Amino acid sequence: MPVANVDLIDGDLRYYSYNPASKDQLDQISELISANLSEPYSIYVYWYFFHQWPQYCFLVSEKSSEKILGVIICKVGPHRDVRMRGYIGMLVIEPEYRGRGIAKKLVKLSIEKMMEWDHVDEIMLETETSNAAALQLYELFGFLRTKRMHRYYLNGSDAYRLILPVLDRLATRIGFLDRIVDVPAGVV
Amino acid sequence: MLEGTRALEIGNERLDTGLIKLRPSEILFDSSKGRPMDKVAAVMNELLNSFMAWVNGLALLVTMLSCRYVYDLLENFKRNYKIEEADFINTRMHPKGYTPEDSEESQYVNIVLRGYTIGLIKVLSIFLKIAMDVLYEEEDITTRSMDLNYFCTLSVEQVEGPLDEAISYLEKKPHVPFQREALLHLMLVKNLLKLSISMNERVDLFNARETLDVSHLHESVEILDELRTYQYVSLPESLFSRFVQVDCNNRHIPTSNVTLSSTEAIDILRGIVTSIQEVLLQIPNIQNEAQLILYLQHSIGEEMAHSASAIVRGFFQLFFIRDDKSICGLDETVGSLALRSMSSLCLVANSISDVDSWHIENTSDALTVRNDCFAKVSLLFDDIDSAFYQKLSVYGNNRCRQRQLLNRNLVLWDSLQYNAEVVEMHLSEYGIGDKLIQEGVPDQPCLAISSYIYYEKLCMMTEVVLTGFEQDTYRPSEAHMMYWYASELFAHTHQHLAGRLKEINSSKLKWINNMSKKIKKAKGPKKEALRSTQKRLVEEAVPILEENLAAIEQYLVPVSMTQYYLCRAVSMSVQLLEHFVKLPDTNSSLATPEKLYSLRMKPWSSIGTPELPPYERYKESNNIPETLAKYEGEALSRMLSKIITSVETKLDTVKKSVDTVMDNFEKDEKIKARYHFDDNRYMKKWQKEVVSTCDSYLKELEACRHFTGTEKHRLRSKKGHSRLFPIYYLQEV
Ligand SMILES: CC(C)(COP(=O)(O)OP(=O)(O)OC[C@H]1O[C@@H](n2cnc3c(N)ncnc32)[C@H](O)[C@@H]1OP(=O)(O)O)[C@@H](O)C(=O)NCCC(=O)NCCS
Repeated sequence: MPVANVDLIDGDLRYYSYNPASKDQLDQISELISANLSEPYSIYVYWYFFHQWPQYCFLVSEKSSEKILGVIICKVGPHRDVRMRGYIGMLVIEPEYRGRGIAKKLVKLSIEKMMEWDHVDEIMLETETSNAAALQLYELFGFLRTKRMHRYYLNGSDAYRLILPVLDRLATRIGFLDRIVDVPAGVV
Repeated sequence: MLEGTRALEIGNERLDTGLIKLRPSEILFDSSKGRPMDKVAAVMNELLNSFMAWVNGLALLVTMLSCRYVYDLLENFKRNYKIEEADFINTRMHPKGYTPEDSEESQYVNIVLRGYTIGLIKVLSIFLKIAMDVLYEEEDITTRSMDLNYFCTLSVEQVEGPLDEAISYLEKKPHVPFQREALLHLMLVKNLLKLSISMNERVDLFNARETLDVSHLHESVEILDELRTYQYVSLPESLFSRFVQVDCNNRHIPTSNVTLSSTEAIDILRGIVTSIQEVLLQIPNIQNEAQLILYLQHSIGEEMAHSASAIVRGFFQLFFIRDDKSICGLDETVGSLALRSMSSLCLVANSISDVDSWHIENTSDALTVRNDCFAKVSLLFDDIDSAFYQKLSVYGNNRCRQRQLLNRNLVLWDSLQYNAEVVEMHLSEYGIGDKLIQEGVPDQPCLAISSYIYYEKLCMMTEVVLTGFEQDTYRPSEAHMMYWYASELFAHTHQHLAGRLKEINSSKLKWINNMSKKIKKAKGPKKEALRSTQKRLVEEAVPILEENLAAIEQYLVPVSMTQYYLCRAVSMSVQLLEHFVKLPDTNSSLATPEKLYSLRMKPWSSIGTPELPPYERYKESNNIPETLAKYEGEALSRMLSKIITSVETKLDTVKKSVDTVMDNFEKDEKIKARYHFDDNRYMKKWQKEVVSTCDSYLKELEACRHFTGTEKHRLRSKKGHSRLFPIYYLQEV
């Protein structure tokens, strides 16, 4: 299905696609993330995501406001040439708005769009082993912890890799799959 | 996540080192300036603290290198990489040809502190080498060197000059306050430098007559214990700063400097020294391959991986497997260990590894066939060597990596098994390779090599399953499934041991006995030859075969049985607990249970034998909650009680079975000789862990008997008695 702008109202809140032309949105996003994630991200990271996958950044605001309360940033690409992998890079909800189901909605929206627009086989992400809120949230959707990584983050904490299997090819070890696409090395 | 994440970004305070504000005193710090001994001792102490902060995983840039003495010295060393150039004179501050004043305080800095700093940097360089050779960047340690050379190109002897000069200078000044502290720091470094010698010590594995020299480590511990009692004055102002982050070739984001307290630093270093000492003292005590594997699994792979510094793990790896693939530097190699390992399970005097015994049959072109068979066997043994190398290389890693490497080894050992089967079957067509001799069954190839590989693979498979619990990779709702799968694998292991592996050894014994009949029938030189072969086999092979049989029957079989029951009982216990959990709302899940099962089982899914049980089999074998859901009221209580009792019985069986294993272990001399190591510590630990785990679940089950059914529970896990068996329990919500 072709990519289309998302713009939905749910109660008092509006869920919508990021507008790559808006400098204000970019500033707000980077501020929100920088204030709420331990890992420092440079502007290049945002450029990297927004340049190739602007359609996979969704925002939340009050219906009547431009102020961004929540953001999710994702990307999609072939994984080792054999699978389509969706990746949730960042997810933050403004602290006062947490616990109201906003993250749940953003995650669901992103996954649905990645399935719809890119037919992903799996969705992947990493999170700190101590981030109970994020683990609980993702595991509600069926994400499994597939790997623990020793001291993955700059702050020295371990991480889990989480994967949500969407299609069947996921459960086969990489070396046993046929190639799905020809992509130049180093794209993802 | 991405390379770019940690890249520098101009203009962003969190990401641009150019925006770090430095005080004038930080910029103008003069390293060559004289200082009293109390300050010098304080600097030495702090340098050690920051060194340990690096060992603990932080970047050099924010630890040791943030000290101006270190930075200035290394910058100067860069001029021509000669140790004489490594001094404290900052050439941006002082004109060419400048020499520091000739005062006593100046000598404290430019002789004593310089000797110390040089020595400590060389210790750092030994650690850096360990890190770069075998550790994982960032996850174990951070080696980013900022384009500086930490005397890696110089030998220990080359840097010892300034250190020795500092020591003899200071020894002549016993009355200067803080002389003792400073001297101890210097002696500590001198001892630590000997680690590079320790790392290359050679051990005649399994035959060592002497212990290794660990006096320098012993002395280091004594020094550290004395250092622990001292207090220091404040540090010179601006000594540690972010100057270096701004000044050196830095592509990284600004970060605060980090140090540790002296107590923390001494604890870490003392831990490193004592752990290395332990390794050096223990390895010569190991008597055989079986003990070595136990030592690697328990002391190194588990205990050390959990508690020791990454540096110790790295030291161990380099000490254990040398560049030439020798083990501990002498006659033993990866290949010889692999052969020992096969021999102590099932490959004893097998004709497949004895080319002289090959009598090629069924062909007109015997020579070509013989050469072809020889090439195939050689190649197979080469592959076994590499796979065994991969197996041995796992233990020195951090626990997360160990699991990943094991996971990778599964694929390797699975295809190795396939290759081995092909080769062994092919060779058996020409009568090469031993046969199974069973009453009433025609002889069939024993496939000793494939059988060994299959056994190793099964052990790895279960280890990957169970270490998932240790790493908390399973949700509570997956626990019963993974213990069930572990029990399936233990059942396969048990079957393999009690079946084929036992048969291979006993068939060989029978075959050797049967030789007597052939000898009787034979005549002349053939009779003599047969007789001497039998004599050799009786002397050399029979004892090993008997030991193997004892090990299999009295130890390996009962252990795999115990583990089978344990995993099955725990799986059932958890299922029972799940009955009391309000079923989670699965509506929000975007994946079907079958898909989740397949994903969870992915590491084992490509394995040919044993094949992964299909989802339906898993559901059929784990149906306690579904069964209970069919009942209500009294009938439910009765059913519940019945199941609880049956699980309790299983747990009791496990406890009894552990006792049997321990009994065998104490009684059987053959087993004792092979497996008793370090006061049989590992087995005692296993016994305690299993029994306590059973007791914990018996308690949880007892609690279940008293639930009314109206409580609301959540399934949770808590630390258990073994890392592989956390205890799942019900928590009221
Ligand atoms: C994680 C985060 C995005 C959740 O946002 P949120 O909008 O509060 O989450 P929701 O209200 O949608 O909650 C969804 C589910 O997550 C779980 N959850 C959320 N917060 C939780 C908490 N503090 N503790 C435990 N579980 C929590 C709950 O299961 C909840 O579902 P339920 O209420 O139906 O049980 C938010 O806490 C956040 O921004 N944290 C900081 C940034 C971060 O850690 N991002 C994730 C990195 S990958």
